[in-house]
Amino acid sequence: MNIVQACGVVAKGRGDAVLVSTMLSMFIFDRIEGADGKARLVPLIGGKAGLVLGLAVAKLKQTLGGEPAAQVATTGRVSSVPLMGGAAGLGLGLAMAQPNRRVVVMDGDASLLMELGGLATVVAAAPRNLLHVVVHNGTQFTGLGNLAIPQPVFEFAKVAREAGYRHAERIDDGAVWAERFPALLAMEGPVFVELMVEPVPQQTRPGFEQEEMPDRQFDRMGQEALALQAMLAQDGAA
Amino acid sequence: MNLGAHSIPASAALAAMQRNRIDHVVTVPDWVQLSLHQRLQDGVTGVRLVNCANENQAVTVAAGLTIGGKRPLLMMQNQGLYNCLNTLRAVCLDAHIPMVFMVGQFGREFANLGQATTQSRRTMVRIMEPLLQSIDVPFHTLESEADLDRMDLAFEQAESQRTASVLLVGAPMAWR
Repeated sequence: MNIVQACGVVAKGRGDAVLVSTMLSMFIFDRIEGADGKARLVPLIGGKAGLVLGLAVAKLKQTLGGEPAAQVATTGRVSSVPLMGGAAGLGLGLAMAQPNRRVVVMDGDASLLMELGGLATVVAAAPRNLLHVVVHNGTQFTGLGNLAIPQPVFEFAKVAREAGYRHAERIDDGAVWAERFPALLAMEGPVFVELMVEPVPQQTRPGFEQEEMPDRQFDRMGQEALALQAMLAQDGAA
Repeated sequence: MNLGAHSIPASAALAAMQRNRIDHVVTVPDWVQLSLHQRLQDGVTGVRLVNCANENQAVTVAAGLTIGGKRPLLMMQNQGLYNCLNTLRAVCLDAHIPMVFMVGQFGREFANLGQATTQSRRTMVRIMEPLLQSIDVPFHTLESEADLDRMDLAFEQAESQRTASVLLVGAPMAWR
């Protein structure tokens, strides 16, 4: 499956579940949820053509919406950015604090490898409402440098199962992921899903110039955390 | 040197935590606060103990709890704080999620009790306060039971300034 399928299934199906994401997934959620926070118009088609089409529709939706590219809705989302390895812990804390709400963590393979012991931390806390997903594409800076992660064939689902997750599985196909997602989200956790995702094609080549990181990259986690905190407090008071 | 004068009873530390309405303790255990860890592990009504595999996870779990409306306290030792500096930077300094850390000054020689930790002959003790100053993280020392009021101050500071605040526990806690 491609990354638009991997994230699109979550964006379309998570309902009121809180979503925690790492850098790559965050960028894709930004694109496919857009300024209106709705992903329903974005097609989820496999392969490179599906990736290009999905991102193109997302961009068109954003353009027609008249919103600047950086202005995206992040309702119910918090991004572990810039902080590799932090997503699972954030999701675990949220799941413990909000046991009646589903929490989906969209982790990255390199990020999870940094904090692999976090699998044991999750299992020890045993959150029934946590769905922990890892995007396994075997690369870091995917789409830019596509550098190999330390062990590209690492079996994350197998390790999660051995660590004690209540359920763990690996999914290769985007259609299967779309079909399985509602059941996995509803399942008693902690549940772990390893998505085998094709790396985004490398854009860099000789002469490529890297852009400056925008300020938003460094303050969005705080803004999202404040907004999410307010939303959860409001829901709790209702 | 009189260890007893510097040794904070675990029961008094627990009372300070309850006074501050702490509902979760997120931790990688610390030798200095061992007696308090033992009490928490035995079970304290209203306080859930969350053991983490390392301190980075402790910080992110505490962040998730805070966003979700809970009031956690972090417990770790000085080595643990050094281990999670980048996570503290991201969560508390960039994202401004308030957090109070109780950090044991593991390795402090008893001859240094009652003196500035910057005079300790142990690196992990000596560099802590200068490090916190350099990254603009407020801290308070807990050198005796009377200092426990500083926990209240640490919470006020963390929440009003939306940052981390660190309580440095100077001597092994008493088993009472």
